[in-house]
Amino acid sequence: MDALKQSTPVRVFLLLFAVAIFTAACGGGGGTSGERIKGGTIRVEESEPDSLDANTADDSEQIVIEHQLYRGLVDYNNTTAKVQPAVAEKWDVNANATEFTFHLRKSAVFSNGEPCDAQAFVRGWSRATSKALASPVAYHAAGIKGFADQQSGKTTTLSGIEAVDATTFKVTLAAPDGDFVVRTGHPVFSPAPKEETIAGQKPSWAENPIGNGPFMMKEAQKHNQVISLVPNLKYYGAKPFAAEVDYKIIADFDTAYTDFTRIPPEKFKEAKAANPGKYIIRPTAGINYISLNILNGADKNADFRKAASLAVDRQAISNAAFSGLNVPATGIIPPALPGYRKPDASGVGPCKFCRYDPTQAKQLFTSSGVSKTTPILLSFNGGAGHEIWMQAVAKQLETNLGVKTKLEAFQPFSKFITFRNGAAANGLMRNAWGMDYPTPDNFLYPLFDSRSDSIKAGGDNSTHYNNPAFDKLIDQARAETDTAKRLKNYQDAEDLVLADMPVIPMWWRTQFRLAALDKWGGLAMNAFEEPTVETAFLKKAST
Amino acid sequence: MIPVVFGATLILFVMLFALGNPIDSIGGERNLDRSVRQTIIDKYHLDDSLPKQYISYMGNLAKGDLGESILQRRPVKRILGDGMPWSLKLALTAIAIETFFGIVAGVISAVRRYSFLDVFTTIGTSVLVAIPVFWLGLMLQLLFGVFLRNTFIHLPVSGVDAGWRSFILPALTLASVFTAITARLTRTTMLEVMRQDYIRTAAAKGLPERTIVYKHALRNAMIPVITNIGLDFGSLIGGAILTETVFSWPGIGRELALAVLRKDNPIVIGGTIILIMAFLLVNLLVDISYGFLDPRIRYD
Repeated sequence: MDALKQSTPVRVFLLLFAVAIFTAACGGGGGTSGERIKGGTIRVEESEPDSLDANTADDSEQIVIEHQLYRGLVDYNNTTAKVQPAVAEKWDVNANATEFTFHLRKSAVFSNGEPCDAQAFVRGWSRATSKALASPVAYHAAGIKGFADQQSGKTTTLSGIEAVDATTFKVTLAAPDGDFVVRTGHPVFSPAPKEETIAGQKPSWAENPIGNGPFMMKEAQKHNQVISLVPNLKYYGAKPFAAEVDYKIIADFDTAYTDFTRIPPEKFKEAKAANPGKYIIRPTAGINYISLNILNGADKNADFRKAASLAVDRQAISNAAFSGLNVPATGIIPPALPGYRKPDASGVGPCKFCRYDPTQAKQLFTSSGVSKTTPILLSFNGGAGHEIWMQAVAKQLETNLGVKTKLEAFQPFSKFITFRNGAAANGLMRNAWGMDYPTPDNFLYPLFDSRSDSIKAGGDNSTHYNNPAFDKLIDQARAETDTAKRLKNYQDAEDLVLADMPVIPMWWRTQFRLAALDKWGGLAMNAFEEPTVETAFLKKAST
Repeated sequence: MIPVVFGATLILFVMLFALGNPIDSIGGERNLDRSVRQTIIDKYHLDDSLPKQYISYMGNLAKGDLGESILQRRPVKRILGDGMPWSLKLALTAIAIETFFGIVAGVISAVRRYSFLDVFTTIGTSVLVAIPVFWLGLMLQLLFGVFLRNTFIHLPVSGVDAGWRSFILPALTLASVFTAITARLTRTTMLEVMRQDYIRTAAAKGLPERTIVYKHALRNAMIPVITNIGLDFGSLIGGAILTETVFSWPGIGRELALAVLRKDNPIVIGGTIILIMAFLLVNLLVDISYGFLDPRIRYD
């Protein structure tokens, strides 16, 4: 999961002019002909990524660039987030989902002309999992045979992958994973050109990488200024229309005057009113939730956890703190992912305790026997826009359950993470998860499987949820090659979690962007919250 | 100079060490895998004892090596090298603004004491000192970037890609408080000097006012002003965090501030050493300049 970078809520009125400036500069008004004009520079608001090395892509600021520089074996549809062929035209899976054979297209090359063949994937994946690179996202490949030997430095080529011939790439897994193909669209699985090419890049590979995607680096990354991409004319697929994409490194959201700009949630309403027709709203595949430590204090009590969840009016808080944009969560698997289950007419989905019901909350709380006098801790990372809604949650717990609460804002962020993952964690802790790739597994295994326990295994299961039946269902789902049956297994696993409520699901993430839609056609936001610059075109010749 | 660098790095090391392991900042919301975590800890010797880390750092420093950023995985020398020219250019522009406007305003108010211009300068400098830098920056952006966007005095509001025009707003913002202080200081010291006997003598022997003010008074009034500007330059190089943030300026102030927040210790320590050296160097230059302003100092 990437670090969900959020802005400090600050002065916003300047933002309201953000897009206005563009309209003025471009003469306003959309094209009438529907003609796709080539050229133009799209300016996208961006924060400085730590690196542009795709094999280490761990945060959203970096992944947004990698998705344009690289195409892996598969990629994801911009609208539906469904897996679609990319460099691999098709693939075969063996009966127990442990061997995957990808058939690559012949026309794929890197922007420097080197072939992007099966060997390129062997190089890229071996590099991504190597000890030398110490990639923070290597774990995505943990299921592949030989992964441990790579991480320990025993080998330098991942033994579970093989270039059978130039266009046949074979992957052998240590354990079955029916959704493995879905993972391979993540940038960590990007192909790599020859080692000499990587070593020879100036000033370094991580600042000036060479990929095989629709765009390529115009020049080396200009730190804290701009990352400029131009169309890669050797790209096998449809060439972009825009002549250039400039990811402008903007230090302060409020001063972002670009074609595609993030807005802090509490400012949605104002920004929307000031920029009619020039914004995009889209539910994206992520969940904001509250996690608990089920081994400590009141959190140990399942009735208390359920009561706390029922006591929170998600819609009211969303209206007050997020201009109503965040949609109350009704389960763990978010919309836009396969396996998502729609809520029924009364608004209840797989989560039976996610509705607002103060009466039942009170009953459950009384039967839980949890003390009313010991304050419940509500903690979050300070200065990141969580103050208002966490306060609202605290207020509702006080009103509906009659408990005392205590709010604590941790700073810096890493201090909060250390607290939340540790044994002393208690009370209600802010949490969020965005997808790495569109599979339910990505929302279940890391957060609830006992093998991801944050203390025992160094994973992200900070609730310490440990349910052998859940773990078994995950294994069953992974071994299942039939998509429908696999999804059923994942949904059953989701139901087990929601019966125990180690977390309190709050909202499905919904994103808001100001976008110069009057100037650019084909500009949208994909499920990864990124602008679709590869399909954007000028509506009217630039003036 | 060397004792200062030693002392400062030692204090920094102890403080950063107490703040905990920088490795927790890697990976964001997600936990870092054990194997990767160990590899990074081994690579940067994060588990070594404090004296061991300090000695190995100072050993490398003697060889001119500032180490590598843990999060960006780039040599600190390159990270600071990328930002330094931009910080220097901005600081120099701000110093030029400060020196020119500060001294001119100060001299005018001193010479025409209690005139309209003096009162105007006094009020103006009070206001400038009181305005927070980031707010002034935002207001200038609003005025020159938004309200005047269709006029010829429209100015870029962020980044450095519009040549000299990119410098105007950040430099004005950065220089604002310093200019006000310089103007005040110049006025005070000028008034002091104008009361001296030799000024009266110069006036008595019939020298024109211009010569008295610029040759006899101003030169003598400059010593505290130059000292002050020199010290300002030191703080302008690294202390432009707010200005650099508001204007997305690629300097080292923001880089350093971010590194502190993210516990990227090699950048924090390396950046501090560079800033200390710059500060000491400027101080040296200021000391040397005294000799030119006041020949008496040369003969001491």
